[in-house]
Amino acid sequence: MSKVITVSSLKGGVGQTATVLNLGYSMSRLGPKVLVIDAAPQSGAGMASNARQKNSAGLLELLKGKAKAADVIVSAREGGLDFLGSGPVEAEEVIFFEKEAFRGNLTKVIRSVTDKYDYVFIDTATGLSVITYVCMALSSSVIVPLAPNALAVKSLASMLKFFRRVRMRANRNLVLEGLLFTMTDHTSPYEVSLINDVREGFPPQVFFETVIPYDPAFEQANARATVLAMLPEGENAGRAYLDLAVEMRLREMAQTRKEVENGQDNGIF
Amino acid sequence: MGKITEFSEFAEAVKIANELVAQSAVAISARKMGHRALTVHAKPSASFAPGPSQEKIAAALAPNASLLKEDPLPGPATPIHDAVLARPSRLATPAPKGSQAAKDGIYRGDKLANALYAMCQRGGFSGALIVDDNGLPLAVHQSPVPEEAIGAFAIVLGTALAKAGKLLGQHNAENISIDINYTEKIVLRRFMLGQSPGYLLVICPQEVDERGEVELSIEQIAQILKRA
Ligand SMILES: Nc1ncnc2c1ncn2[C@@H]1O[C@H](COP(=O)(O)OP(=O)(O)OP(=O)(O)O)[C@@H](O)[C@H]1O
Ligand SMILES: [Mg+2]
Repeated sequence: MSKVITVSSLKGGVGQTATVLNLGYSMSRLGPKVLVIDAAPQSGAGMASNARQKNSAGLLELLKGKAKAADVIVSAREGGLDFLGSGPVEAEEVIFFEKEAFRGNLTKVIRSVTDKYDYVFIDTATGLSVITYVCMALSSSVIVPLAPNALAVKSLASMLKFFRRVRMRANRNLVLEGLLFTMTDHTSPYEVSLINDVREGFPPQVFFETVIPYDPAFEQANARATVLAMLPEGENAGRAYLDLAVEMRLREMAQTRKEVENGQDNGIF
Repeated sequence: MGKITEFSEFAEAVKIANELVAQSAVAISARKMGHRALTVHAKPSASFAPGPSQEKIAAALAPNASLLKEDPLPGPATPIHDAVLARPSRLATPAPKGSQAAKDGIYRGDKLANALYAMCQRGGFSGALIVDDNGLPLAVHQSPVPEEAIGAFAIVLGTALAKAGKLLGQHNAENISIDINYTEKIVLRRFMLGQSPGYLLVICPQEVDERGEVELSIEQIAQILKRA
């Protein structure tokens, strides 16, 4: 069964899109078959990569019944990673998009394409919206990127409330995959102590162990329409996303062990 | 300057997080203990949370640029779609009995039923009712259970709402939502019919956020009832 993960944040510019692309890519390098979905028509993964040049059609055309999934999904050069864009970004299309989300059609369209993949990462627009709501409602888990500053931390309660609401009302199986510190500057004593304090205050599993450092190479990756991990100069931050992918896999193994412990397993095969 | 951890927002977030953990709503951690504390580094280049990945995995990364395959896949161009522009606006959704609706002498019940029908169409709801404060249905569109039963249920929910006013001091509480099974919910919206309350009930999938559509329709319904 595929694991669908929505990446979402109340605050903008914190690396939601960077996380979807780089984590999606890193995960695909570890073996699983990965799909990245851009559900953020104006600030999503389609803009940050060359996917839109390759195929400007996407969810929008699927919603309109004007295309089949196979016609709008693009594959990464190295294989293992597919991409489903949002489609055009004109204002009226964005409104249409929201309406379709409201009606439940976006859910149907996304569900119809996720089956073939081990992991699906969904990039959403910043803030809480109907689109984010329905993406979470169909997801297995949620990742919340968080910049290490006071305002971002203050907005966390609202995000968690929203998450709780979706879980209570629309998706009882929804899990918080983790809060992820991004764009961290570990030369800043302020940021380092903020991260330590914040993580200490929360139950340990709420935050990812992995932290994504600030790295100017992200800009170069944008300019070259690729993911950082593919660039020689992106080794460090790209590496951090690979660490994150590994951390996620380790968590899943821990989960399996726990199930075995509880006698919920049915043997290895 | 106060520490971020002393803000009330922080305490609130921690409280919710603890609740979520208790409900197994957080992915389980690979580590049993808390996080290793980060330390301040001198050089900005190294990742400061040495993660679990190995050189081997890193070696699997290709150093080349440009993420996607060179040959573009065929895909339709992207005109502005007439279909979108031609969509009926919210309030212009056709009534089920269009020819009749055009006539002036339409009954109030029909008008209300039309309003309910249109609301359900727009909002993706599976049914809706308007009930007066005696539990009598004034209009129904696709009630999943007998009207009398749901009328009575509306009164039960309405009473609960009134209690929210009395016990919690929340006199503006006008909505109550109840999950009736794993996929659907019933939402009750109270409104005033002159001096006494009336209720709009909506049955819809749980993932639908019904509020916008309900608020729009309440205005319309109030208008119809006022004119009658
Ligand atoms: N770890 C990082 N270090 C440096 N720059 C980064 C990092 N992560 C992302 N960026 C850059 O910061 C900018 C914002 O990142 P991104 O688009 O991923 O954020 P977002 O949360 O998706 O924003 P939006 O609210 O616009 O959707 C981009 O230019 C991106 O390349
Ligand atoms: Mg974005």
